[in-house]
Amino acid sequence: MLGGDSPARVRAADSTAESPARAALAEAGTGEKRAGGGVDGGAANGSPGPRKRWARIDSDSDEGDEHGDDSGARHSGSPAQARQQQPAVVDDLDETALQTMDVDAIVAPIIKQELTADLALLLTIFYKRLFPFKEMHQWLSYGNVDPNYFTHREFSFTQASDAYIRFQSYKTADELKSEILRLCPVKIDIGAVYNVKPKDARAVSSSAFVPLERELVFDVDMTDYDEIRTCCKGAEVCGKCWNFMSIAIKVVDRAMREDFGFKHILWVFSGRRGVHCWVADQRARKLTAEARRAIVSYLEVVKGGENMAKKVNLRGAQMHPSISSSYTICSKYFVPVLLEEMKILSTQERWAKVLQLIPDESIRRNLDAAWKSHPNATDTERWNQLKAALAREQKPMLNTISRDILLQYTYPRLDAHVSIGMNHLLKSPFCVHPKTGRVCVPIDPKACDKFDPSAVPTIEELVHELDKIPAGAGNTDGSSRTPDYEHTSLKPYIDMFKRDFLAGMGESIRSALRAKREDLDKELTF
Amino acid sequence: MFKQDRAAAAGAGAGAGLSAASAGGPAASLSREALARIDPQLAADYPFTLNMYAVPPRDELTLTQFELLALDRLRVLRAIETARLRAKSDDDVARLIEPVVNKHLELKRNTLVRAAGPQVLYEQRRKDHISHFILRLAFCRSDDLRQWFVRQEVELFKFRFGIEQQVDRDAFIALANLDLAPVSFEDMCREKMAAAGVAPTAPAAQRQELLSRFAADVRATYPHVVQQHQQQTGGSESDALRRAVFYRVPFERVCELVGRRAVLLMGGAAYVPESERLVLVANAFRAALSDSLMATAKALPRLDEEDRLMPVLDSLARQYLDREYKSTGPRSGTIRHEDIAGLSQHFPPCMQNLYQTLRHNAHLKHVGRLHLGLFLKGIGMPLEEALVFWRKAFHKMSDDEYNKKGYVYNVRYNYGMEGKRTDYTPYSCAKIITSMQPGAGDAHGCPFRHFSPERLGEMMQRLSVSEQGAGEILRTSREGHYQLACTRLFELTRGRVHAAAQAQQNQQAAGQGGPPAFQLVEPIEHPNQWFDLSMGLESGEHKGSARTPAKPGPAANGRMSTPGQVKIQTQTQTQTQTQTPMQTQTQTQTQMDYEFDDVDMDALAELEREMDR
Repeated sequence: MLGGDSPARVRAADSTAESPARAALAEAGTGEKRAGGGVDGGAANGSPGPRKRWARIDSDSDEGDEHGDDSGARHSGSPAQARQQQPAVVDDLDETALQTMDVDAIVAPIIKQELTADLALLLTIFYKRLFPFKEMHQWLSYGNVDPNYFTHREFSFTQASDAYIRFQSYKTADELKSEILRLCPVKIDIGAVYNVKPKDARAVSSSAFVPLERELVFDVDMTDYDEIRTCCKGAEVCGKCWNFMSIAIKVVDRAMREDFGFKHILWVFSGRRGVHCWVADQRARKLTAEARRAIVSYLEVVKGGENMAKKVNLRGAQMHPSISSSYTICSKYFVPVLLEEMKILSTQERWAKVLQLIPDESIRRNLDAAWKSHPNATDTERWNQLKAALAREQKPMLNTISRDILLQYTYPRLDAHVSIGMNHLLKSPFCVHPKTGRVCVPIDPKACDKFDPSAVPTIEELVHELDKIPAGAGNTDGSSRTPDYEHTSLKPYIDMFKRDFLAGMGESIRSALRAKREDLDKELTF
Repeated sequence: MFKQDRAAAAGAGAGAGLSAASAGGPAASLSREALARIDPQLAADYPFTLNMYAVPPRDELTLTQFELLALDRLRVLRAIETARLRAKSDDDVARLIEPVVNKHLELKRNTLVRAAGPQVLYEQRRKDHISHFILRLAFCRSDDLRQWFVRQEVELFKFRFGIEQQVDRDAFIALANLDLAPVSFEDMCREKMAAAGVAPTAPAAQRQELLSRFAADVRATYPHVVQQHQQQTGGSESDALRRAVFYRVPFERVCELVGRRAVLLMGGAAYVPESERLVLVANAFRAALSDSLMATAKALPRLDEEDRLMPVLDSLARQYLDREYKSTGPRSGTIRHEDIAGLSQHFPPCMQNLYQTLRHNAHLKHVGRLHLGLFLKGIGMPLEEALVFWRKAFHKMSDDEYNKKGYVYNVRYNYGMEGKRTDYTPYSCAKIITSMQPGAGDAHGCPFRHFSPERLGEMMQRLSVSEQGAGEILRTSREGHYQLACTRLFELTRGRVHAAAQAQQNQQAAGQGGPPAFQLVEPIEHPNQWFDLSMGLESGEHKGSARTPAKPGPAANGRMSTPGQVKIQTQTQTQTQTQTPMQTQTQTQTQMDYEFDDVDMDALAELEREMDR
């Protein structure tokens, strides 16, 4: 069917670079039988060809959709059902298709917009040589205080064929790695720690399979800012709107640390236009759904859907200390970003949106008229006029309006469902976003203003860097003394993951163990 | 036999009480010692109206008594549930449930021990104790039942805590062993300095600045606490702060307060003011009850009561269960996708909004699809038609994209053909109002709850609601009575459309005159109910929805709704003629009729007659 044209297209492509990485992959491809499967397996199975399949991933893999929209039913489905969805792509490979594949042809330069079947190959290299399995395993084992912690953790995968595989679990990092190399998923999700190994969930009744623990997670997605940002829409991001993510990181990070006393917090770029947060303290992992809901509601300030214009309605003039700290953070961004860069008051269409948040008809009319008659006024001048107009009124209700507007235009918008549901999935750090090709790297919350999403290494850049490793410095099977990532631009990110996140957590776990042991010792000396 | 002993003991106690009263004179409150002097048994078994229900009762009951006690408590719990739906503030809830509690489960306070006699107090508290444990047996057997029971019991506990005397509250908390360590404002300041890394030896100016900011934070978090202390004792704000008492607890123990931002959080600790102590107590009550229910559930199969108690327990629990909308009407399975456009005028505002958004955008987000999809299923659209309906609605999407996005799966899921394979029922108003709050880009939700007043106003203008009516609806929804607002909208819009069809009934009903009103037989509690009522009006049936087919009796009765005041007309039972104080009771009754059509109503009525005797 559709897949028919794909090998031809691949063969027709230029083959210029003599890439050791890809040559190694060619071996891996024939040896492991899976590597090339992503290219032709689909055709053999009668599903649409690779190109189509990637297009599908692209069109639908917006983070917002994943959690908030279409997958709702799927994510809450029972394990048995989730497995029924998975087509038999995995074990059903067409050997002849593999042999006819011209491996050299795949070395064609990859154009970002057209990450097609080539991504499967890049991903195999990435998982084989760059993805930090060891570090991820170290994280998710939490010092092996509870030996079941890693083994009972749910992993789930989205494959290029769009097969969605839930409730997988593994004994070791190696087992996880070999399975990921076999499946070559375009997306890896991490779920909860269950009372039963998720792989064995089928053996028990659905009510006996329950999530016990998981990190407290937050998902901030740029699409939720579409109604307020003026620079981009949908999947696009630019330096201006990335400021929203910086605000979100600062506000949530502060509240987590100061208000809730959490220490082990990992911020991760979602690969395109959002950020994820993993709070990994033991106390956070043990939170009940009710406590998670309370935390979300504690943080939530912007509320309401498309049918609610005014989304910030804080009661009274006095703000809760947590909100006033957040307000301080937000106000630093409001003038330079929202007014000066995004110019939310520059045209009537834009300021109308702001004015409708003022519940007083005459003020709205006056400001609208004043701004229309002075088309050259700057946004900052207009904002000051708005504040002055509200302050002139003696009604206490109006005096808080400018504060509410500021918050509506800056305060973080969190996807509540992801944080509350224990069994919800969140994309693993260090995944590759299938559309942008960028790696989901950690973000340093202290330096989040300097984070530039367009500077994050892409999978093709990384594979290219691997090719440049001088002979002897690395080993293509990844068993060298220095890991391959050390030679790529992924290094600073993995180092940061180890230094800022894993090391601190290790210290906490060790001191907890020490305390436990001392308690035991005391008992023993009796 | 035991009962006889009890009465004798109580009688003796009463005598002692009288002498104590004459000696001590009337006291505002009664210490436990005094209570023990009056009736040692009472003081030992039930020293307060509040009860943690830690110890099961050891009494003998007849099977009839067993059932009657349980039904009384069930009435109260159901009234509480309804009150929670209708009223927002705790005060309103208390007002609504008070008459019901007093009728069926009254507990007199200790101060009334002399006036009412200790045996009355003892009997009341014993009844409360026993009925609680009977319902535990009935409601321990599934997650849903347990959740429902815990929620209502906690609510009842809070209500009683609110009306209990301060001394008894304090004594109850002391006895309940809640492990609450009070901290003062100074303690909090020390903790703040430690958290901020400011040593007590730091320069005074630095400490001063930190602490004055902290004091402002505390005042902003607990304005009422400061006010209250100032009112009581006068003095400055900082004096008031210094006198305030807080309890330092892990934030997980007071989720409710954290969610409302009603507490100050510092390093994972929540500082609960004394005035919010109830939350701590109620949470302890909830936790203990949840644990005991699990234990009871495990023990129940060993009771060996298959023939005697189980049928009773089953029927008790069933009155809660199955409160789902079942499409049993004549249209079931006959609605075709092309009918929807024509039928949409009968949709409630929430569904009309979703339908219009769908028409406008050729897309709906997940929860919106869920709500509208199940609603359409509820009005009788079979799966095959639903598949066509949704495919056509998403007409801007290519076949490929549509299939890949799993929309087919979604639709089939609603019909129980995928996933958990549950035959899902349409969402009720309560669920739409309280769960799955709409976020950015979402169109779902209850217009009266989730629309801005402007947007709601526009909607009513489109429906050509009079200005007066619109004002009334806006006011009602602002006060948090979303379903009443919706009911009123129905009366004003659908009522008018079918004024002619109703004229006759109205005349009969209006008996004594008054404006011709367009009456509704029951408050809107389910989007599909609106649809059924609206359709029913059209076809001139003018009776309840598909859910109450078997219910005989006057469907439209004759109370008027006065202009400017929302009054819900209910399907009143003949014996409940009293007006205001009974209204809650009546509504509860109606809701029962409405939602539990699986319950053996004859058996219930039989029981009720027995009760009345």
